[in-house]
Amino acid sequence: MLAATVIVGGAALCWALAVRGRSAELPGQASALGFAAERYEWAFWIALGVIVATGVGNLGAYGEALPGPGTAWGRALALKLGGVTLLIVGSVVRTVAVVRAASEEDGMSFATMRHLYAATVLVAAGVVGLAEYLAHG
Amino acid sequence: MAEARRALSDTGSTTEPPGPPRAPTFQRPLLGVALGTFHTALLALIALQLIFLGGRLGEGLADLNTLVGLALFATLWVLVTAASMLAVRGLDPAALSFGHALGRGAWWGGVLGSALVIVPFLLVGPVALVLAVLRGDFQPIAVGLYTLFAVFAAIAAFAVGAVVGFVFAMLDEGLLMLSWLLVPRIGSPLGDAGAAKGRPR
Repeated sequence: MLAATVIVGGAALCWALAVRGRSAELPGQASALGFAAERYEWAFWIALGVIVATGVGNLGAYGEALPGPGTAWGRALALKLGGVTLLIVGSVVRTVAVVRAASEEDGMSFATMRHLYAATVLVAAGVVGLAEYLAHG
Repeated sequence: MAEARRALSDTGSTTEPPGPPRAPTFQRPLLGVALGTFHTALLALIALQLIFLGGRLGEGLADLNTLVGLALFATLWVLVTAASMLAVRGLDPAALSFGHALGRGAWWGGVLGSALVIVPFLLVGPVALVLAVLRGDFQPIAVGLYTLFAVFAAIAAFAVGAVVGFVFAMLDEGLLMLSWLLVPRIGSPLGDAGAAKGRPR
């Protein structure tokens, strides 16, 4: 739960900072976004590792009792695993962009940051929603 | 209104005069941790999908519980991340050219595969040797066969690890290219075009 909160909440924070940066040329906004984005990338990957690790363990613990792939629950699980795959593949693209931007003189635009973190929030929130359905129906 | 283009360039004010590039002390470990976690998670997700779609989730994960699953994943996570950090060591974060990453990926994947085999052999071998001596049934030929088997297993594991590492390096390369396409670098033709005309990218 904590790890999912870090992933969704951190991306939402970066998204909000990037959206605010659109409205005006704010030097402090660029600093705040750069600071938040670099630290978010660290937090994201550590939180993601924790989520996948606990998820594998929980599937093992409940494996015998879980419905098969042909059921609605099974389709939701397959969708969730696909969503997590999409999230991590997209996040490599985002992290590489942040690493590159942080190493260069000019960085990247607020628009790019906005799109990257908006996509992260949407996909991560979708995965959390599916996890909620899988856990509680 | 012009957009701020230095959103991530440094943590100082955009009104500061341009200076020399910062020393990349922070970003390279991040790249290694990101790629290591990505590889570990993707391996776990692919395995889970295959087991689940084959209808053998309960059977396939029967010996796992939360603690064992966590321990196994954590071990793999630490090892793969260490290999990924070594693989990206020496890469220029400003250029981030993965042109020679395929060879590095294959090499470090092979090293990791061998380590996963050799370490258990090194842990079990001496214990078994001591027990055999204590019981008085020590046989030198058994030590030779054990060592020979360990060497062949390590070579086979190196080959498998190298193939997996090469595939992941190709995937990394593809994602890097995608990142270049989505976020054109300042200095690239696309970035220069936008910058030269003074318009936001």
